[in-house]
Amino acid sequence: MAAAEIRLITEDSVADVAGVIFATSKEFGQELGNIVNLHFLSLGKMAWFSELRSRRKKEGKGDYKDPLDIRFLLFESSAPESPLPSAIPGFSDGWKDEADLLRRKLNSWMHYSLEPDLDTLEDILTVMSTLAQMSGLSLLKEIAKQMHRIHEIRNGWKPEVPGPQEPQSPEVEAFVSEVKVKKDRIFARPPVGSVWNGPIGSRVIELNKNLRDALEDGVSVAHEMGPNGKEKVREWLRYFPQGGDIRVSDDGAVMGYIKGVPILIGWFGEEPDVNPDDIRGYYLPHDYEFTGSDVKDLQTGSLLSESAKEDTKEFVKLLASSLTQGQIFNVTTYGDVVHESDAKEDLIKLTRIHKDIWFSGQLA
Amino acid sequence: MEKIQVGLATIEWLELDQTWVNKPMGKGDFDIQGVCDKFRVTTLDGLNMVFGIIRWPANKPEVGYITHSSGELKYERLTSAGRLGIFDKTHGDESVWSFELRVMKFGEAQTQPTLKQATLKDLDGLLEGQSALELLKKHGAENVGKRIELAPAEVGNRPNELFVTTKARNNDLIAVGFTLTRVLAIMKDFGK
Repeated sequence: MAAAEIRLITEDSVADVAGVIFATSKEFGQELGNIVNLHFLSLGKMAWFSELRSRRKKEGKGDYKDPLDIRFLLFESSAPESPLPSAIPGFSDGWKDEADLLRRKLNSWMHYSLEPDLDTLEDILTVMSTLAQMSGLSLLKEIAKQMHRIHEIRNGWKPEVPGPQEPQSPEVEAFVSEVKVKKDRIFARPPVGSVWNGPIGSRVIELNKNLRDALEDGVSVAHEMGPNGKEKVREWLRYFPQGGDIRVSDDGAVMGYIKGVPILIGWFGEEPDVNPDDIRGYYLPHDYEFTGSDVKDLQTGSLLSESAKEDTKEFVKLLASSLTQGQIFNVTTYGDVVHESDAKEDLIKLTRIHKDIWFSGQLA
Repeated sequence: MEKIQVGLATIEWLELDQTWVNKPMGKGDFDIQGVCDKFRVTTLDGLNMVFGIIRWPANKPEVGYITHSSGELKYERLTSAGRLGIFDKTHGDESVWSFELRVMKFGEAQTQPTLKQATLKDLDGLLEGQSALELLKKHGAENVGKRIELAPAEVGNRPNELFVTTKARNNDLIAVGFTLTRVLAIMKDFGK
């Protein structure tokens, strides 16, 4: 059975990217799910799905109501002792690894942790394409068309007759609406080290790099931030190392001009209205593996201990208390260190890091 | 702490024992951490400049510029020049600090003042009728004279410099000597 035609992306917009990801995921689930279903039916296992659901329930895993749900198929394909791999054409250890990668990416996507742009779309489609090829899915052709269009858009392609877009599905609309809220939040409160878009503060103080202190008329103002005031000031110096005049806005945002551009270098005290458990920003385009004593960037192969400016022992110790050797995690543009819960449904924030204990050049 | 009057300048102590990270005067290619006692100097012509007496773990103490919020352009010179090095010697159980009273002097060919040898008479001229010797003694100077007389074993290449000794960590005298020879000298356009 040929996969249904998926509307080709026409622009690098949140709605278009989300639309293609949702539609392709759905088609992937339907095509693979139907193959799996037919396999079990041919063996006379009519109740295979309800039996799997019962088992998942017993094991405390998330419930799925639809055997064609891509997330269900990806989860079960890597679950120990699951009968599902036997029903997947071309299944291998390689298939399982790619499925696990796709599952993590889609999970991050559903948690709004991936930037909704062409790069993310291409990334997700690439993994889907590998799996579709290994299993001989007809969806492969549809994915190839989308990849070609992504390439064209990057080279300046535009629709001949720009006009109203086809209405998106309700799930895409809801997703786009959430993404907009998130984008607005990021614009108003960017990560430290990014361009500051808010009002320029009227209070001018001096960040003195020799004193590692912030001065107003020559006198330290660090005490205004409480007992850890000087620690805060030292954090600002990471983003404004030469020191000089800096400005503090009414809500405590501290900014300094770098080459004429206002950069957020920190907060005067704690950043207001932030839940410390919230995961903010989008994932950096890297996956990281905890090796047990270090962190490996899976895209570049480099080790954190060889790249970070500052000592990472405390950070690695913290990872060791939450992760097992070989576990993969991600880091957001805000420095939030994130991994999936054991149930593999939720994302958990382990800590927040700054640029100097991370791979050089990856965090602002 | 009480403010100290030095001619038309006033010294005010700010925070003490502050972290200070920089290269010690005339030494080192990289920053190290020292400790700094901050003092503000204000003058009647509108200067508001903060300096620090800096103590290093293994180098001689010094006085250097920290920041300023106002003042005539000519004082900008003190942001990059005029640091004062302090000799730190131990005689028996007693530690002694000493320093040269070199003065910021404008020359005919120079637009910027530089440190030059001075006499007590020169310093008297910066003090609105006050005696430099009395001022230094008032703030704890033990000996004032030529360097070759007070430290004959360590005259260096400037034996005739005006020299002053005091007990170690006598911050008041250090700040007074610095203000007199740097700030007031520039204020009075010494040498012009």
